[in-house]
Amino acid sequence: MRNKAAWLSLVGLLWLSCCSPSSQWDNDERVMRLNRDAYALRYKDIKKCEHLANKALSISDSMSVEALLNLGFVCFQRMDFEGVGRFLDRVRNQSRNQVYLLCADVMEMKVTQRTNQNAAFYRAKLRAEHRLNRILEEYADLNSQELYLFIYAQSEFHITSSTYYYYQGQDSLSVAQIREMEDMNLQRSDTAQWLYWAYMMGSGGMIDASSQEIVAREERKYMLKAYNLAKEAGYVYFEANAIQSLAEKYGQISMAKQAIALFKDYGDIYQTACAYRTLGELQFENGDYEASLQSYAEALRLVNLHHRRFYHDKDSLRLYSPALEAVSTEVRWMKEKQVLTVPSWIAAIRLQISKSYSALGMKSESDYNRNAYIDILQHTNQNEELEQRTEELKHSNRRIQTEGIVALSLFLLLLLLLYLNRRRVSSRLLELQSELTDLKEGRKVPADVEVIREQQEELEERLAVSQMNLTKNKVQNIENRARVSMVHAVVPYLDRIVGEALRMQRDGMVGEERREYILQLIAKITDYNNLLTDWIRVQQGQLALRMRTVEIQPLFDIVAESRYVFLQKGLELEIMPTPERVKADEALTLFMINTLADNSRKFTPRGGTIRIQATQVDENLIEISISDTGVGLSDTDLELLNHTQVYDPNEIGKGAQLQKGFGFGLANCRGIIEKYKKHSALFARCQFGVRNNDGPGCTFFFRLPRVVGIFLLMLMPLVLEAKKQNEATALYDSVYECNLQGRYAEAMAFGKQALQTAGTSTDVELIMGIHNEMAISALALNNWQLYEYHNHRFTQLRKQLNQDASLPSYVERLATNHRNGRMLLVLSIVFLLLLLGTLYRLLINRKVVAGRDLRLQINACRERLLTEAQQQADALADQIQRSSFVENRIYVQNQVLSNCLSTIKHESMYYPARIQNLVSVMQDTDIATLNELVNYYRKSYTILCSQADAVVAEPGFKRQNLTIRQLAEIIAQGVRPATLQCLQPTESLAVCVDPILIQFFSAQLANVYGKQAAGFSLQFQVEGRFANFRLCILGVQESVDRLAQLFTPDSGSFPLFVARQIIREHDICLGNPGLRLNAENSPEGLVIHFSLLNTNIHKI
Amino acid sequence: MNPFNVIIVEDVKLELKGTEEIFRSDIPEASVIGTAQNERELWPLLREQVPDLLLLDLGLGGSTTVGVDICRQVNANYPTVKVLVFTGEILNERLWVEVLAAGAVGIILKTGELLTRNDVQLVMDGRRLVFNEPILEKIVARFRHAVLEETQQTDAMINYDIDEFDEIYLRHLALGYTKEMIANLRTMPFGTKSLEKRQADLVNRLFAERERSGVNATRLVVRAFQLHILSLDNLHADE
Repeated sequence: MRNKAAWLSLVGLLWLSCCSPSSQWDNDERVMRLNRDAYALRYKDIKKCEHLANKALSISDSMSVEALLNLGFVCFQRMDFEGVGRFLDRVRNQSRNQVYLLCADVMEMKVTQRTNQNAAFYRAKLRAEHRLNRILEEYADLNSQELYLFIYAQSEFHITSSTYYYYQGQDSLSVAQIREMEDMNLQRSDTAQWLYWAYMMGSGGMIDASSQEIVAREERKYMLKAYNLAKEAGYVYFEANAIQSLAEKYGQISMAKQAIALFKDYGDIYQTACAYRTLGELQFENGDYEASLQSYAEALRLVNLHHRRFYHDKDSLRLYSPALEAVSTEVRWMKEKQVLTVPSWIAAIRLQISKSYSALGMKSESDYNRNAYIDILQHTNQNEELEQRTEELKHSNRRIQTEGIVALSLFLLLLLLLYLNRRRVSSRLLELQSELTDLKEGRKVPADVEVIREQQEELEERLAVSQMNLTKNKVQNIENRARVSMVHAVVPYLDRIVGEALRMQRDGMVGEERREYILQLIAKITDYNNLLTDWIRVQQGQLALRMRTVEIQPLFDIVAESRYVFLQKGLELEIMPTPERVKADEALTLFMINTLADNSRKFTPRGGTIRIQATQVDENLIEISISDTGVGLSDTDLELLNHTQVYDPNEIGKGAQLQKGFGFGLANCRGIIEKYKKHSALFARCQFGVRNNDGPGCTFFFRLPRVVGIFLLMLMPLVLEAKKQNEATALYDSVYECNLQGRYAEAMAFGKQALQTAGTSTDVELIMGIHNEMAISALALNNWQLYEYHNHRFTQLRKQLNQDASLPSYVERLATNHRNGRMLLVLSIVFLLLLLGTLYRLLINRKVVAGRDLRLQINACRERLLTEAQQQADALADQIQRSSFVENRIYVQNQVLSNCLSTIKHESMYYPARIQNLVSVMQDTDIATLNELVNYYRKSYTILCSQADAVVAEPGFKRQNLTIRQLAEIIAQGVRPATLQCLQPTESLAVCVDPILIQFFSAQLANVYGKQAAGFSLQFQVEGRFANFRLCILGVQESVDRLAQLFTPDSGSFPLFVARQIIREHDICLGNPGLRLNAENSPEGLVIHFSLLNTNIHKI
Repeated sequence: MNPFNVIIVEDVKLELKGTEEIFRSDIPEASVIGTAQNERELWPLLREQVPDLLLLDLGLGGSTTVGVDICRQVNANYPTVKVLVFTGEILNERLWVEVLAAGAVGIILKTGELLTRNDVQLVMDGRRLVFNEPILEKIVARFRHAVLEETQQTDAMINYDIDEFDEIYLRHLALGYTKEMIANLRTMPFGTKSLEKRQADLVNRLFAERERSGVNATRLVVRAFQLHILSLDNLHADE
């Protein structure tokens, strides 16, 4: 029993000693040593490194992170990238130490760089950079263990970054990374990392010196240093790399073989394959092409071994595969996510194989390998993931925006509530009261009302402009109406001639008195025609067309608004949308479309269709057409409409047994087009016409100059640049064709020319293509120097195209978004809590509610002000609309009238002369001829007058009731600068007038007499329905003869004739005929008597 | 024709010459005892000698109605004088109506054959409403239109089977009466519901099938006017 207890005690003591702190400390020491040793063996003996790391791992879990890192390194060297991933995950799960995590990030960088995962590389790099910076801030606090790991991680970060940039063709960035290591003093702290740095310096492209000789010398120095130290210290990895590099530099095959042996011994199949490739290159340079192929085959075998070992891939790469593959094995490996292949590794081998085959004259095999090389380059494209990254970033941005909006809203709401909370009832009530008073008295104007009032000012200006234009157009209109009256003034004399001709016919004899009378009538007509010509000439220049670029679609939209009118008649209105623009007068173009559409509507039976469209005749001409499915037109009608100037519109369409004629609309449209043609040469090809459709109905059309979009004009300079580009492209095509046909020397010549023509072109793809083709040619010609040059340029440009400059910033933005998102979430929670608290406080504060009534009143006041302002603005807008509408209508009327008058002038002027000539010498036998001539003249004249009458039948008169005082003000404005004295400025009588016309009436009188007059005076007298006015032009007298004719054409005064027309317009349009206009002399001056319609004052 | 005296009122000398020539060549029985360009010249002539015939132009001195006033005054002060209007106002129908109301025996338009012997003969024979062909054409056209309108109304009533109650209903709708108000008319024996049915029935009769959707009272009434079932001249309420 006692022995048992003793044994138990001994066992217990022994157990305790194992668990005691001093044992634990020993274990830690041991693990640390094992880890250190494993680290030191990384580049010496990978197997031993693995063994020691596993041992360290088995001993201590808490200190296992370093071991995991070492094991990760081992996996990396063996190209077991998934294995690396597993070990790094364990590191991240077990440790929060930033130095360890930095080592893990750097290891991830190495894997992603080797396997061409660009976005993942940048993510790892970003994390590593952040950790580096954080650690550097607390650098002084690092213990020795952390320090040595940190030095490793920092140096490895730069080396890996430099390697990445080198393979991406970003040499300057690669050099910059290596430069960062210069001050790290690695030779003392970490021999392996120093060797790595020295090797990088010696391998080329890192040294900047004044001459190539110096660069080569320095590189050789670094490499030899690295080799010697590596050999001495047993760093097999670096010894082999140095030998391989020296072998390349000195062309030593034996050295290359030595490197292979060393790498094999070390156990790095990646480097072994690279060494085989180097051997193959040296053999190639020696002319031993077959041997080089064998070396490359060996390299490929190692690539296949890697893929079989880790991805169990049964496919393998061969030197040459005659079977055509849709997707090559290399590209398939690159696309499969679970296969972490090493594209650059394979690409380098393929490139060399193609050279060797080419040297052996085996074109197909050479091409096969070169194509494989190009495929790999194309697929190592940073941009390939662009869409996915864009979506990721968009999603991330949206999330951030949402979180930001939520946080901001909560924040603003909180501020608002805090603000409300602060302002207590008493001060609030005072403010509210003050605000209400200010609003009511107009001292304060709400911002939205202010905005509307500003808009009102603008509207008032626009209204003023519109009314000014309206006045101008109305003035032109009344002058045109006066001219039309003038046209009618000819008719009685014409009728007299017809009457006399009939009498001649009845009596069978001419008669000298009749002859003389007819000649007098003709002379009078001729005088009137001359007067009309003069008066029309005055107008020219005033009625300028408003030509500008007009979009057709808005005009079609206006016409489409009357679709219901067509539907009521059982007609379908089809309007084809158009993007076209024309040079034209917008108002007249709309008038023509409406006129032709109305015509079609009248003459298309129920169930028919009317189509309006704009089609391009050629690049400079647009045809706007209105087609219907009516009964069509006869050939006679077509001839009349298209080619005859004067025709009876009531006769058109009669052949189709319709009940009514066409009216003057078509003639007006044709007149407008004729006017366009006279406007400028640009409109020379304008045309108006009508044609029968192939099916039922006819099409009315007019053609206008087409306006080309401005962007085409802006493209002109680019066209010139494109021409040069096209030449280079054509030459590139020649290079390609020559290569295809095996004419490699010609291909080289074309290629040289293509490069010269392309010059500094920005078309990288084109230049890259040229270099590629030239590389192919050089390869075929076995011109290795040129091949290396063009292939190098091609590869550089390919990498340049592949680059995605946004990639680093994308990764950074994503990380930033993630950080910001977390911060916004925290802020949102804080704001929400504060908000709830403030709401609670507000809700129990009843005094805030007391200001509610005042607020309601203020709101009501604001509403009222806003409504009033809005109503005023709306009213102004309506006025502008009405004014513009009327203005446009009168403008169109003026243009059409102008055309009518011109036509009348042209078409009827020569008849009086003909009649005169005939009558002067006629005999009794000529009576029938005379009758025919005068009747034809009368008929044509009637048609032309009817056309003008149809236009003036449209309203242009706007009634307004004015008091005498207001009337006097208007007349006073008209006679300025002369003065008007109103002798009876009463408000008790009102007259109905068109103010614009009355002002013009007085202006016309002032136009004739103003300069001589000493002033004007106005009196009136009521006589039943009329107010008779006496306007005295002081100091002016007219002769008795002239007085009787003052307002007739015989006076020859256009202004006075217009004045008469104005009174006639009032007479006709007010429906109360009897207004008078006459003149007489008085002792004070010339008195103009005119009357206006009296309206009862109560009716205003 | 017996000899007679005539005064011509005409302000355009060339026209006056032509008119005098007509009298001289075609109507030798006429004796032109005076001419006046305006009313100021006319009254002294009348005071001096009252003619049998006054040939009167309307548009004197720039006014359209001076002639109408002259006609009225002559008719009042010189009832034996026959006033025949000879005017170039070939479009101003309102003026013709006014001058006829002022006592003119006829109107000759200065177009076509102008003034003929026959026209003057008729006037001197005591006929009223003497017109030359151009104005007769317009008068007949108006007459024809009015008659046609009447017959169109009768035809429409038959064609569309419109009875007196339909007509009353439509007429009062046009005057703005509601159905309730129409139902309360003494001349309407139907209630509101029946009037609704009647309206629906009218829509079916007056509109083609594809036009019937969306027809309200306004559209119905306008349609009735278009078909001459209703007439603006006859638009009055029964009460």
